[in-house]
Amino acid sequence: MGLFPDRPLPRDAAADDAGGSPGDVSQRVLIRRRFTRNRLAVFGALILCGFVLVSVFSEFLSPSTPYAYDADRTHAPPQRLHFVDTSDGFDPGMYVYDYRVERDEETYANTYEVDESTKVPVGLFVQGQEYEMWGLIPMDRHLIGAKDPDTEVYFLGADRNGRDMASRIIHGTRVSMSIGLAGVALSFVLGVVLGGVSGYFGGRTDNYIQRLIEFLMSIPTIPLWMGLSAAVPSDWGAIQTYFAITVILSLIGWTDLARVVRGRFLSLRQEDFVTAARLDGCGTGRVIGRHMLPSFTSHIIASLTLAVPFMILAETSLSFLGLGLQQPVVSWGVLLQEAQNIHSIANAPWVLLPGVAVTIAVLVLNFVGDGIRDAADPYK
Amino acid sequence: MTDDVVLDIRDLRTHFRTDDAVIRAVDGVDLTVRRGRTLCVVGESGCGKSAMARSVLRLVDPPGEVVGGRVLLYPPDDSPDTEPADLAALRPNGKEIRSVRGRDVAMIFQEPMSSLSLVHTVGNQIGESLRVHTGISRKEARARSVELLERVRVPGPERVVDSYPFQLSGGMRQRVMIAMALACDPRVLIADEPTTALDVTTQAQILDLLADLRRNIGMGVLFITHDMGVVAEIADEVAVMYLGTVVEQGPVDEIFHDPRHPYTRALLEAVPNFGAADRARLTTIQGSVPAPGTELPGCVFHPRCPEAVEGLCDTTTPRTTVPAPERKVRCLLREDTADREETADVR
Amino acid sequence: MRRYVTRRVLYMIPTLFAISLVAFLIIQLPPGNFLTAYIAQLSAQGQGVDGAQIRALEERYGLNDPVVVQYWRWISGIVFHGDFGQSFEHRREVSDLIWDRIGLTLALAVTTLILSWLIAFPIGVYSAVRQYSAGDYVVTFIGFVGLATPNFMLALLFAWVSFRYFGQSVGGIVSQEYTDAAWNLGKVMDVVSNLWIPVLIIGTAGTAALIRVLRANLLDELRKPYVTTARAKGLPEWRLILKYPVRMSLSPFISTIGWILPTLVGGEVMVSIVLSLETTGPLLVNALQSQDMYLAGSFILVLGSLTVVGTLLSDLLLAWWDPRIRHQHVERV
Repeated sequence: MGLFPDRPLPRDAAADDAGGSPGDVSQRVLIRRRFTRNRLAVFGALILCGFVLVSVFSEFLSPSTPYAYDADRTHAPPQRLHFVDTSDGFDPGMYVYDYRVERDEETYANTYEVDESTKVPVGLFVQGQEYEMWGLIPMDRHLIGAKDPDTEVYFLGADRNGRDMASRIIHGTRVSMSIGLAGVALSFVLGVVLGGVSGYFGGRTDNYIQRLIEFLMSIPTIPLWMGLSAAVPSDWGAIQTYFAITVILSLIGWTDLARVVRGRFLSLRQEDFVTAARLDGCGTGRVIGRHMLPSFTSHIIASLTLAVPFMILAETSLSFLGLGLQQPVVSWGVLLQEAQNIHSIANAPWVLLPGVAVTIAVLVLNFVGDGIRDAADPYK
Repeated sequence: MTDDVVLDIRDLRTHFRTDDAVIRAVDGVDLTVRRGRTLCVVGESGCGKSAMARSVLRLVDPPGEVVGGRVLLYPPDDSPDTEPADLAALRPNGKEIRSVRGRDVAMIFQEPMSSLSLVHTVGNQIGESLRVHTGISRKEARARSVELLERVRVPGPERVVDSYPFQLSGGMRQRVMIAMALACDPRVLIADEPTTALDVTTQAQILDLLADLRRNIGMGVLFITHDMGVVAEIADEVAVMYLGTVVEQGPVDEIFHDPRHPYTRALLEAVPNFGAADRARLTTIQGSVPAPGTELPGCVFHPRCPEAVEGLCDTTTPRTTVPAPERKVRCLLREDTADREETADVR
Repeated sequence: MRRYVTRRVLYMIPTLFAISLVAFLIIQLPPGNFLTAYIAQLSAQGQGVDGAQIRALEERYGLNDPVVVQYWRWISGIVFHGDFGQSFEHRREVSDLIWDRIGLTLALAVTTLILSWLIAFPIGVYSAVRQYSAGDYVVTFIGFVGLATPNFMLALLFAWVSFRYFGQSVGGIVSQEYTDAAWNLGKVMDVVSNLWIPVLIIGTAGTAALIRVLRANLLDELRKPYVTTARAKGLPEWRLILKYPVRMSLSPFISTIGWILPTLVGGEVMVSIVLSLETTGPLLVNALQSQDMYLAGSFILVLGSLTVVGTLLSDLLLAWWDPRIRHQHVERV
């Protein structure tokens, strides 16, 4: 290499003669810069932050609690929030209109009409249903709600027991997002360990692990998930079921991540800096931990971000069928169980709203994950 | 003399627009390719020689773009046209430039493995440009492919024509590439580092083959390389490129024996010399090619030039001077005042 | 080529074996067995169960034998006699129950696969070749939404729309007047007309995924040197794109059949439950909910095996398509 000291490996002409090293900016800065330039990803990240905040402060953000019910408000339609009353001059202040309820004596179904003569004043930081913040601190303040503590407002309508959909969806966010994260955390451990072992050692180990992955990927996941979840004893408590479902989801979900990690390891194993580290006498653990893993952290983060939505979708599907989480746990999938009945949907289409939450969550997670993945290859 | 010119590149400029800067990969290059002669363009990686070669056929991938200059392709003697066509003015990937590609001007690339499709047979890929430009049948194209493989001295062409590139050795693949380029008897062959990926013996065979073909067919060859050894072996004329500009140009013997530009000298000194004393250290050029997009005032080579004069080389842009017939050099230290004024007038 | 096929077929055996283990595991996992469930149900109905009858049943199903023996009895019954055991809930042979359903599931999955391909191919190619064009953005966005919406959500929305605006309750692949009719042209047409909605719903996620895969592959391939070579030969742009990069990017595309089949079967199960189609889905869920484990296990076994066979077919298709695989030359990634 004496002739032209810095000759890079042959690449395509554009990169060779023009592109190449983008100066001395660190990889991290480059990744961040590329990510922020991707508007869809930034937008997704903002919404995702919103979801995280909602999951953390569910109790406070809900206008009510997910369990408070009112038999006079079954399938009550959503109430529109008005900010200014212009019917009689200009009168600022949030309010909703009350309902006029009529009960069909035969079917006991309530029919609702907007009663424009009765206003229910709405305020911020109002007193309402009592709850325990994070299950610890007793509180009764809600970010938004009816000013009168004995009245409820239904921004997103009510379910068949007259429970507030908005509060239920907000609490469902916590459960669904956390099960996605927990499932991915578990898959992460399995995927990185098995994928890493497979890619680093290669040979027979690699072959066995690859067969295992191929096998797991060849089984239709939904029937398999269904089978395994059905095997979860029905007398287990909510927490036990929650963990069982998480384990089941990640038992099958780690394969994709393992493939990514393995592929990376295989290609990195050939790189000079890894050989150099090994020649310097670094142990296997150190070579993997200090030299190989950091060079593809961003890829792992991207794969993880892209794995969360699959977990959420899987949980939703299972719970929807009644094979996943069970009442009284509130997850998006559990909430959608109400939508199984066509008449419920017909009477109260807002029972489908948890599905909209699922779609948005999965969408933004995909945006963010793709953004990270694209940004992780600044030299591409 | 001018009758022999097949390709005339004048003030060619190819820029790459990236998010951060405009990279002037090719920044005003003048070159002339003559019939039956080989012009070697030599320079370090990143000097824009490959982008220059691709610009001729408008093959620069986005964000690269030919932004100025002319690429004049002279018509063959028997053609009724006498005016040269300006390839730089054509629509990229348009019909006109496509009719030139592979027929008048053919190109071969550095990596025969990745430059050939691995899922199509050799015969399919060789015959393809014939079928596009002459519209002959599949069967005729295959027969012609066998002939072409014979011509580039591939053993057992009847067998090779139906094989896939991954079944061939590196040297064989490059022969297939050459056969592909020769399919339509082009007047100009552009070879972009065709021997870089090959081992030394194979490299020598391919160079021999190219030299023979050039003599027999009488095509002009524009040969891109970074290897002075290859230059010595194949070139008639040499152009030395640095950061998108040609810094020195002339017949191969004169360049080797009387280099005028400090960069050319440095390149020649960096070649390992087997005649030298055993313990002599290899000379390298100090520093390395600046990062693309770096804007340098004055002469582009001054930060690495051992002869750079402060106050001159880092402020004044050098002009091309003609120190002897057939020779051009672009260095402030070789400009005398008269020369400088003269070229200034020309511009 | 023959060696490749043989090896691929041999690889299938351990996978099939593993699937049978999983199915058996699912049968065995729930506490108790179908007999205890059966007894519990009988007692709940107020019927007494005498010990002799239980022992006779235990004897018959060998429930006191070691697990290995039970597994062998179960799997050998399936392999040698096509006997999948008894459905406790339906009091019938499992094999009487499943084949019709699995046939329909398979028909739905294959139709959906073909349709997804037909839709995804031109869109994916367009979207890659015209990267960052308005069309690309639109397609990418729709693709994202398609991926993000759970299949059953779409099915629910569809059910709601047709109920609300057309006053129709959806459901069924075979209309009532044909339920007991023999297969004839009318019945086929009827099935086709009922089939296209579920096919569309099941296909959304898969199609969106295929478009994304094809677009990403093609974007990689479009920058490869061999494309420049083809361009340097003077080929028209579309012709060279279709001949070279598209051809190359289809290899991973073909191998996606392997993983898209499980997804389609899963999606089909979900959608069929919502739209109450007479396929595997509703019966499988029922079986799982009522712990009718021989029925559930058989479904999982058969669906899993069919997917493995599907994967095999896609691998063979790939070998036919890609000479590198046919000639045993595998590039390491």
